[in-house]
Amino acid sequence: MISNDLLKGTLRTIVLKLLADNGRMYGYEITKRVEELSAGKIKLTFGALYPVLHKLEADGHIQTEVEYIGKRVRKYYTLTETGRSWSERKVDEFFDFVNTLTYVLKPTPA
Amino acid sequence: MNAVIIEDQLHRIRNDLAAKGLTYESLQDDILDHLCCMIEEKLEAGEAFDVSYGEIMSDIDGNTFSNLQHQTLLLLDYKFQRMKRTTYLLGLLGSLLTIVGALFKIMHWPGAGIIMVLGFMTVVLGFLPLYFILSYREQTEKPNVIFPVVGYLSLLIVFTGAVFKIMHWPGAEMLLRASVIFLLVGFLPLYIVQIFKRSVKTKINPAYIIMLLVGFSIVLILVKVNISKDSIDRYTEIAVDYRASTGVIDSALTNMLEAAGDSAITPDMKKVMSLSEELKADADEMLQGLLAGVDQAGVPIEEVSRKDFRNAGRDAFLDNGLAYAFLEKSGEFKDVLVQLVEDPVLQDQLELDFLFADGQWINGWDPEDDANDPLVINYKIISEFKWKVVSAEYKVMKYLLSEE
Repeated sequence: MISNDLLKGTLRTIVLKLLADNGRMYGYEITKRVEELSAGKIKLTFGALYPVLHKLEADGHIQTEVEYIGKRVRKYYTLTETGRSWSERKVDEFFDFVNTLTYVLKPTPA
Repeated sequence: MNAVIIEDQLHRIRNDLAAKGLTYESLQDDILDHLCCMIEEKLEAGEAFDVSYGEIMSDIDGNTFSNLQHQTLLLLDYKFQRMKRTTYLLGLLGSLLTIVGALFKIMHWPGAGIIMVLGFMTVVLGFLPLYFILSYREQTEKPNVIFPVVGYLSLLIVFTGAVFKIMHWPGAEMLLRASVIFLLVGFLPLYIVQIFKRSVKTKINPAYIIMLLVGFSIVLILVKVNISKDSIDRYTEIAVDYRASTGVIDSALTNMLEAAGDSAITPDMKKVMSLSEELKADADEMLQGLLAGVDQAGVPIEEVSRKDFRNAGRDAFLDNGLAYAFLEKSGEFKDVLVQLVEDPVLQDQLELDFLFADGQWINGWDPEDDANDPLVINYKIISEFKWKVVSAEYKVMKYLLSEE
């Protein structure tokens, strides 16, 4: 399991990247997909996921489409235009960060 | 998908969510769908609705839903987010101003006081209240009011006391003492209790603690460790020496004048004597004023108790303007003396003796700065000034009489 502390700053990037790759997704689908991709190491709780989704929506990076599943509403999230370019930037930024971190944390052979 | 949740069950979940504090509709829709997906997985595996729903809900902490809504709404609340930015901006501005003010103060550049007061005001009236309101609003589980309020009050008194102290406004000592008491009996016990109640998971920001420690150390620096017994004794000794020497010179002067006879006294000499009388009287008034500050006027300094008392100087020579009048008269006195003597060596000696009156901060006497020193230090300083006046008078009179 990956600790929540480590995940905190990257959750937004993960969500953006997933939406960029998969087009439209609903919340539960995102948690499932993350679990799958991380081979069960990352378990997103809904308590962490939905505030991020709502914030991204309010900031105009993603938008929702509503569909009815029986009597209940399902919200599909998709990237907006600004969200798409932002997501690319965020992912680049993140890889840059990971590379730097690897460099810093990996012991160099003497 | 053959296992679909029916309308009644949907209703039940929705009501449960609302009862647990999740009322924001858009978020409620998300969570409802999310929970339904989880339940449907179990239904497909053959479990009954009641069992699977019960299992899922028992895994979720009771406060989760209200927390979720609270955090989401805070994130969406632009006013709140703006307030957050403003708060940190004000904190930055306030501490910058304070540091710049302190730098000015250390360098003795003009404007230090105003800058520091502005900085402190920004912190105390801007940053701190906003900060405590923010952290109060960010708490999700039964907000704790006492902690931020006591924390804010402690810091308010500490900072106000610090400003008063730096600006030499009256009441500083009292405020600082009050703040120490507040910290010790108010904040610290509360904080310790909170640590032990950690299981309640009340959010305590480490910034509280850092700020409190900083505040606390400011107080300690400003209250200062009291002057040591040895220093008190040494200052007393010097003051007594000056007093004795002043007495010796005074009677030598009287003898010298008697021996010369009234006819030898020129108008110049009379002027010197009357100026000197005035200065000696002022010095005596300040000395007695200091002792009056501890209700011991007329008592010889070696027998005075509470010689470490810090508030006497203000009453004795600052509030009544006596100190500045004395400095000005001392300057005039020196000018008169230097004009009367033609001996350059004596002139130089006089200039040096009266450097304290020139107002320059290295050599000069700064009553504003020294007023809050311990009583005995001020007593020694004034005794020294009086001695300087008397010995200058003696030297000049002797010189003038020998010129005749």
